[in-house]
Amino acid sequence: MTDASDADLIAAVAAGRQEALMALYDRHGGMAYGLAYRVLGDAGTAEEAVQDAFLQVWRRAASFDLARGSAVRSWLLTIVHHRAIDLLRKRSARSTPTPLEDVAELLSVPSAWPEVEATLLRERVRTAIGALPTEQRQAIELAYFDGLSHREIAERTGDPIGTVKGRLRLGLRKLSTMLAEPGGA
Amino acid sequence: MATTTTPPSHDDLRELLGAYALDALLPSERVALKAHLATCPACREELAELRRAVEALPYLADERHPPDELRDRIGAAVAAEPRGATGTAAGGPISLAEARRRRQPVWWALATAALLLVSLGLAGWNVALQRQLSAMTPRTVALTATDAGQGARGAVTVMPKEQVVLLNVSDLPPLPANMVYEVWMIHPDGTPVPGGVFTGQTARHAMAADPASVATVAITAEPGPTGLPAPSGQVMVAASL
Repeated sequence: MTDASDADLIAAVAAGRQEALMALYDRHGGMAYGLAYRVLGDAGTAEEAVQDAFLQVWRRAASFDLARGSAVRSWLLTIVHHRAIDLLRKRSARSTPTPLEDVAELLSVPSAWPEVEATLLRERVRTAIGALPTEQRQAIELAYFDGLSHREIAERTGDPIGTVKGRLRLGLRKLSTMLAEPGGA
Repeated sequence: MATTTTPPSHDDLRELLGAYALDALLPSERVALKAHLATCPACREELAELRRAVEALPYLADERHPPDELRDRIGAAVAAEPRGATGTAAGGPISLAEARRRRQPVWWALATAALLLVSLGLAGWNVALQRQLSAMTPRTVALTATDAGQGARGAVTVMPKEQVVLLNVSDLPPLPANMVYEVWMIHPDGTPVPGGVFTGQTARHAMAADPASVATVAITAEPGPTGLPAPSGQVMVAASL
């Protein structure tokens, strides 16, 4: 199974083949766990998030639409992230995140990085985010890794909410532009 | 902040796109923006662009080697899913934590216990490994209903490698008041060992056991809430492994 593409594997998962799910886990488990750990900061809860996420992948594999061109890895990591933020917000008694259905809608967007090597992508993303103004980068990271709302970010940084909204939008736009630049790949 | 009576403009809403892509909006704003997106191609296009950036954010986290037990746990959790669960997302997915809360706490406790036994029992693996390879692959045996269990159906899946016996049963006859279903793992010498209790007429149930030591799995109705150490009721369903 190790030579199969992610798309082949997800199709096999949809057909109920558990070994395909485990192959996806072997391939992306390190990233999934790293992401959950970064959000949650402890091994136990991070493991819970990853386990829940892979169970979701198992249940939802059939709903994954290959035709739309989304990357399996992005889809999987979105589920992991969502679950991790859910657990984080529950732990701090804050609001639960938007239902995954709503988030999954966003995933119908064709991915820009279906086949780019993970290590290469990691370098590119780090370089790009490093090039953002500090306030934009900080706002994005507080939203993404700490699961904060714009209001909570504003409280944290002492800036007006409008400013925070602008930073999130501008920061993401710049990031997207930088990552789309040819040559970077 | 002053409240405004005029509906938010396109520009106001557009300003929310970044926070929307990061799930950092307040629920009321999210609803308003969602409605706007349905009718505004320009905002949808920008959202797609922002989403591409969000999809790249996981790469800011360092990869981390997960503990080996996590793989086993995921495998066991997936194996415990009812057959055909994949692709039938119509009922809507529920999180594992919710599922745990909503139904079968006993199941989860047992599954956890099973996994604990798996890790504790690693030493015993050498013995198991010397057996035929075919003896290591999971297999499923259908349950047979008796007169006392008319209409019930299901199957037992044994996972020798995981040292787990899984029971999937549906449409058991209704329980009399204060009774529970109790599962029995009957050894080759005929000794019944309690395998846990549950109350749902349709249930999934995992037991930690070496399948080689279980000749028959059976269900009876016994006094609740904990059942009995040895069966007293009539067997409703059974499977010979």
